[in-house]
Amino acid sequence: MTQPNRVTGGLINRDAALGFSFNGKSMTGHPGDTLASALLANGQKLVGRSFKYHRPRGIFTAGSEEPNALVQLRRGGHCEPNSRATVVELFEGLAAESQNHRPSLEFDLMAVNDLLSPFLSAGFYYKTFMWPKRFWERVYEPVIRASAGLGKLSMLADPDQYDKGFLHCDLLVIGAGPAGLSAALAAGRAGVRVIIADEDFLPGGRLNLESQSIDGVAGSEWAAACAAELDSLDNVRCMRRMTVFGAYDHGIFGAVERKTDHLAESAGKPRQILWRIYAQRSLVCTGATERAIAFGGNDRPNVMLAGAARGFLNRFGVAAGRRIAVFTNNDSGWRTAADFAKAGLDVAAIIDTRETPRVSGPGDVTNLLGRRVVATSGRKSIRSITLSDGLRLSVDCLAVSGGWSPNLQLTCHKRNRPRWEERVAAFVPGSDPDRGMRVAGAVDGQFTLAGCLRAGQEAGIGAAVEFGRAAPALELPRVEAEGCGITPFWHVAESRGRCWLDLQNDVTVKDVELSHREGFKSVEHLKRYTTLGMATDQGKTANVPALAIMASLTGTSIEKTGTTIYRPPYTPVSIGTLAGRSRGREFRPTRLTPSHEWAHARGAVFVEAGNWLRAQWFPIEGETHWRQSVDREVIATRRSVGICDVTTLGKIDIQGRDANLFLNRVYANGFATLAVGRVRYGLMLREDGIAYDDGTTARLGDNHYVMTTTTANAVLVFRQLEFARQCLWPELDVHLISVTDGWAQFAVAGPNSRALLSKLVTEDISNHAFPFMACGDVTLCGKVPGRLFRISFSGELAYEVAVPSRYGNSMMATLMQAGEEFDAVPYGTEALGVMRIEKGHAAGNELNGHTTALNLGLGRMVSQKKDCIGNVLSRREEMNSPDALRLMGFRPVDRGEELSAGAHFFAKGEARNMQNDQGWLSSAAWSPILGHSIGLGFIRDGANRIGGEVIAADPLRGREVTAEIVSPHFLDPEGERLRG
Amino acid sequence: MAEFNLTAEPFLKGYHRQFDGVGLVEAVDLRIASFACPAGAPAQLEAQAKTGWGIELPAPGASSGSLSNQPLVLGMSPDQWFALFAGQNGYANDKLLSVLGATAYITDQTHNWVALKISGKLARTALERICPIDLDPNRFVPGTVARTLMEHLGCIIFAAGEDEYLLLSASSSANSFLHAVEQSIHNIL
Amino acid sequence: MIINHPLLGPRDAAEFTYLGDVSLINRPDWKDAEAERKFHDYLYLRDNPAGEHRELWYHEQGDRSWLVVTRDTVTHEVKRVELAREAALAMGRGK
Repeated sequence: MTQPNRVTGGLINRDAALGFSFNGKSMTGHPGDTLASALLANGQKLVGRSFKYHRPRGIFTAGSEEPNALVQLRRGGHCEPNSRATVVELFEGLAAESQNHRPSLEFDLMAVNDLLSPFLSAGFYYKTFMWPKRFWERVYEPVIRASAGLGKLSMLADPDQYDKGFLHCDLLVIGAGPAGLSAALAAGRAGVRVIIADEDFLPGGRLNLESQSIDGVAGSEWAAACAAELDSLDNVRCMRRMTVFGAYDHGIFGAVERKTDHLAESAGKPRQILWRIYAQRSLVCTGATERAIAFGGNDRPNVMLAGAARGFLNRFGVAAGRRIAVFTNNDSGWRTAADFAKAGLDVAAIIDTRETPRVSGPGDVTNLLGRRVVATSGRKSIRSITLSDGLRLSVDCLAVSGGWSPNLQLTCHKRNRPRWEERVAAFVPGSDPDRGMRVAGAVDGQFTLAGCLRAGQEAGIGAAVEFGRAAPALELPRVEAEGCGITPFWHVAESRGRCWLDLQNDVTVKDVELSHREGFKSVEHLKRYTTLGMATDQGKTANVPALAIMASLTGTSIEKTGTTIYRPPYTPVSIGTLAGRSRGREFRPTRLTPSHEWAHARGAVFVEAGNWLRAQWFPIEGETHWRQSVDREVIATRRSVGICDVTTLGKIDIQGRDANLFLNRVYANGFATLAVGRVRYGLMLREDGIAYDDGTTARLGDNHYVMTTTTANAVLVFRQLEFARQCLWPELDVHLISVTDGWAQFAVAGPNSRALLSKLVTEDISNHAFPFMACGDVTLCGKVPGRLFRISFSGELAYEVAVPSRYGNSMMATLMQAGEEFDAVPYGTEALGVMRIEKGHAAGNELNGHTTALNLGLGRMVSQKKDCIGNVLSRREEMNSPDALRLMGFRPVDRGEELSAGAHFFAKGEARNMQNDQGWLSSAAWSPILGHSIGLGFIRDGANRIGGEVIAADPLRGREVTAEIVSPHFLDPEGERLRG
Repeated sequence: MAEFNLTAEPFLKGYHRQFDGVGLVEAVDLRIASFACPAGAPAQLEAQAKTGWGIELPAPGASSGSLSNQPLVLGMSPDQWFALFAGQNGYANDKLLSVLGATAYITDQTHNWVALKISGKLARTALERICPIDLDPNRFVPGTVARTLMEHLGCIIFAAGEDEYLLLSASSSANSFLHAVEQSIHNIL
Repeated sequence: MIINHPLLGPRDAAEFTYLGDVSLINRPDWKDAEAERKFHDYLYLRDNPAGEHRELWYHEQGDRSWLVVTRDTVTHEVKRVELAREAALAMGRGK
C-alpha cells in the first residue's frame, strides 16, 4: 500500500498524484503536500543524519524552522543542498537525497562519531588544534573539512535564472496567519496600499495546521476566503512563497519570492526574485515557533513538535504516528492529543510537566500530570518512552511542546532587544522595534486565536487611520475560547542519556554546562563555543531552552541572560538570488564606442577599459602575433596617418560667466589667458597636492568650454567639479553637463592627417588658419556639424575630430575611405600606448594616485599665483625634496633586452631591498620606430641623472636589465612634428 | 568633398517589438538639449520660456509642455532643464537658441541619450524589476520625471501617460540598457 | 537607507555617493598666513562622532545636487537634509 500514513482530511488534492523519489525510492504524494508531509505519508521517518554524531534523525517540525530534515534537492547543477523538506513544495518528478552519511542513510559508518562523542564535545576543535602545530594544515584541516558540512555542492555552475525587483507600499504585512490576514483585510478594505507576504504557498499560517474554526467555518476556509478577497483588491498585493528575510534602515525590507521552486522546470524564467520593499509602515505578524524540551533521547526520529504533529494531520491528512504520546508544559500540546483522538488515532497519554494544568483533553485519553519523559528507545524511529515515575509506554510518535517563541527576528534586525514576558514564558519584541514598525499576534505574545484576530484587525484599522482613511466597520470573527497557560520547563534533569537542545548542530545540555564551566557564559560566547543556534535553522527551536539552562546555571534571570543578536537573513538565501542577473557577461553594463561595429567588422581585438570595450589592435591577414599588428599601426601612423576612436575620454560641457575663473581654480596651471578657439593642456591636483587627472580644455566661446578627462576618471572628475561648483564656490555662475556619450571623437594622427581631414572639413585648416592647439566648430562632409581640436597624444601632427555620436560609425568608415590614398590605418589602444610612451606623455600608469606634479616633471605648471585646488599642500616640504622621484625615460643598455613595467630600480651591486629602492618603471613598450624596448619610470633625482645606469629588477618575472636613464621624450623632443 | 557622406544610425537600429501586454520601441526621432539658468537671472529665462513656448519652467521632477506641442521641458535639477522635441529635422540646441537666446546656457544632448518607449498594461510590472522609483500612477503621475539607476545604468524615466514611459539612458551603453529592459519583460511574461 | 531629498522627496541611498564631514565645505583661504597648516587640518582632521553627524552626499544618479545630510551614525536616523549649495552659502562661502 502506498502512503500508509495518509488518513482523511487535509488541504491536499487527492484527485491528483505526484510521483517523487527519496534516495532513489519511488513514492507518491499529492498537490498541496510538502516533501516532509509526503515522506511521512509514505512512512519515511528516518530522513537524515546529524551533523556531528551522525545520529539518525527524522522530521521535527512542519515549517521553515526545521533543524533535521535537510535534503539534497534536484539533480546536477540544479541540486540545492540543505533544502528543508518541510518547506519544499512537492512536484511531479521531485528527486531528493538524504545527507551526511557514508555509505547510506540506513547504515552510516560515520556514526562511529557517536561513540566518540565524549571527545567531540563543545569546543573540541579549538582544543584539538592546540597541538601539535604541524598537524594543523596537514591532518586536522583535511579531516575536519572532509567530515564537516551537511550537504554537498554540485560544483557545477548554477543553471537557474534569478531576478531582482523593487516594491513600494504604505503597509507591509509580514505573515499571512490570522493576525496578518486580519490586518491586511482591515487596511486593504480601507484603501491602504498593502503588501502582505508569507513564506508559505498557502496563506493562513497556523490556521491551516490547526482544527479551530472561525465564524463557524474551518480556520483554513476562513483564511482562503480572506486571501481571495485580498487578491481581488487592486490596492493589495498578496504575495505567496515570499520570505521577508531582513529589515533594514528607513522601512526597507529584503524578501525572496520563490517563483518556480514548486515546478519541475523553470522554463527560462527566474527561479527566485530578490525584492527590495520600501514600506511606509510595517506590521510584523510572523507568529511563533514551538520549542522543544530537553530530555534523554529526545532526538530520535518521530519525536517531533506537538504543533507539527497535529499540523501534518490537519493540513496534509498525514498521521505521523498510529500511537502517539504528548509531552508538554503548556496548553497547546493538548490540542495535538485532541486532534489525534478526533481522527480516531490512538493517543497513549498526555504527559504534562504541570501538576494542575487548567486545560482538559479528550475524555478517554490518559492524563499523566506532573510527570516527565526521561528516556526513549528505538533506532530508526521511536518505539517507547519511559516516564519519571518509571512507567514505560510504547509509542511510534512523541509530540513535544516546550511552549512557543515569537518569531521576533525582524524586529531585532535594527538592534532592538527583546523583552521577556513571563505570562507566556517567551521573549517578545521590545518596545518600539523601529520607526514605523508594529507587531501583532503571536509574535507579540498573543497566543490565542481570538487574540491574534483582534490584534491584527486593530493594527490594520490603526494603519488605515494613520494613512488618513476612514476606519472600516469590521466585526471581530467569533472563535471558541482556548487557554494558553504555560509553566516554564526546559530540561528533564533526571534523564541519564544525552538531552539534545540544538538538533542541527548536535548540542546537548551537557555542552551548555561545559561551556558554562569553561567560562563561556554570555549567550554570544555560548553560541560560538558550542555552535548552538548556527547554520540553516539558526536554532529557532533550541535557543530559548538553551539560554534558559544557561540562566539557571549562572543564577541569573532569562531576561538578563538575553538572546544573541538576530541578523538577516531570517531563513537562508541563495547566493544566486543575491547576485540576481549580475552574472557572467551581465556582471556589469558594457559601453561601446561609436565605431564599435566598424571595428568589429574589421576584426579588431577588444579590451575592457572600465565598462568600455575598446579596440586594442586591428590585425590584418598574415599577422600571427599582436606585436606585428601594433608595430605596423605605429609605423603607418608615424609615416602617414592613423585613426583611433578616443570617444571614451570624459567630456564635460562647461558654461557660465565665471567658467573661466572656475577652470582656473580646478586646474593647477593657468587658464585665465586661454583665448576663444584655443585648447590647453590642464593638470588637476587633489587638494593634498597629488596629481589627480589631466586632459585638455577647449574654449569654444566667451562663456563656453569643453573639458576632456581621462577615461577612467570621467565620473570622478565630474563629481569633484560639481562639489567645487556647489560647495566651494557657490557664488560662481558656472554650469556643467556631461557630453561624453554625445560626441564620437577620433584622433587623426600622422604627417598626412591634415591632408586627410581637408577632404572632409569645409573650413580652412591650414597650419596658419588652424595652428597647433587650435579648436573650433567645423562642418563635415558639407552638412554635419562637428568639432575639431588640433591636439596630439602621439607627438605627430594630429587632430581630434568630433561628430554627433550617431554619426560615429559612419565617420570612422568615411575617415578610412578618405585616407585610402594615404594608406591610413586604424589603430587601437596598444599603438596609442606605444606612441604616448615614445613621446613621454603620462597616462594612468603614471597618474596613479601617488605621484605629484613635480614627480611627473610638471612641477612648474603648478601656479602659486592663484587659488586652485591642491597648490597650497603641494608646497609641503616632504613633497619637494631635492631628490624627489622624477618621471624619466629608460632604455636597455643592451638594446636587445626588454624592459618590463613594474620593475624597481637599484644601483648596480646593491642589495635588492626596500632601503635601496630608487623608484620603478611604470610603463614599457617596444618602440618600432627606435627598434628597441623603451620605458617610462620614476627615479630619485632623475632629472640630474641623465646618462646614468641602473638595474631594473623585476623579481616577479625573474628578470634584471641594466637600463640607461634618458629624457622621457624619446621622439621629437622639440615638438616640431606636432606644430608642423 | 561630394564623394564623402556621413549618415546617422540609431543606437539600437530602430528597435521595436510588441510583447504580450508590453510594447518596447526605440524612439528615434527625439531631439534633446539641456538648458541651464544663469545665476541670478531666472526671471529673464522664465519670461522667455513663457513668451516663446507659453509654458512655466517646471521644478525638478516635473515637466511642462509636450512633445506634440513642442517642446516637452523636464525639470532635471534646481537650475537645469531638458527640452525634448519630436522630429528628425534641425538641431535641438538651435531650436532652443532661437527662443531662449542668451537667457540660458544651452547644450545639445540629442546624441548623449538612447530613448526607449515602453507602454502597455504590463509596462509597470516589467519596470518593477529594474526601477527603484515608485511608479504607482497615483504618485508618479503622467508628466512626472525622475533620474535614477536601473541595472547599474543611469536612467531618466518620464511618465508619458498612464501606462507609457519614456526611458533615456546613456547612448554608449544602449545595448546593455535595452537588454536590461527586454530581460525584465521576458521575466514577467 | 533613504535620503529625503529636499527637492525630490525620499530616494534610495543607492542613488547617492558619500563624501564625508560637512566641514569639507570650509576650504581655507589660500592667502592665509598659515595656509599650509589650515589646509592640512581641513583635509586630514575630522571628528568621528557616535551620534549626530552632518555629512556630504552627492545625488549622482539623480539631480546631481550635493546635499548636507544630518544623520545619527548610531541609529542611521536622518534628521535633516539640505541642499549643500544653500548650506555653503549659509556657512559663509561665496563672499
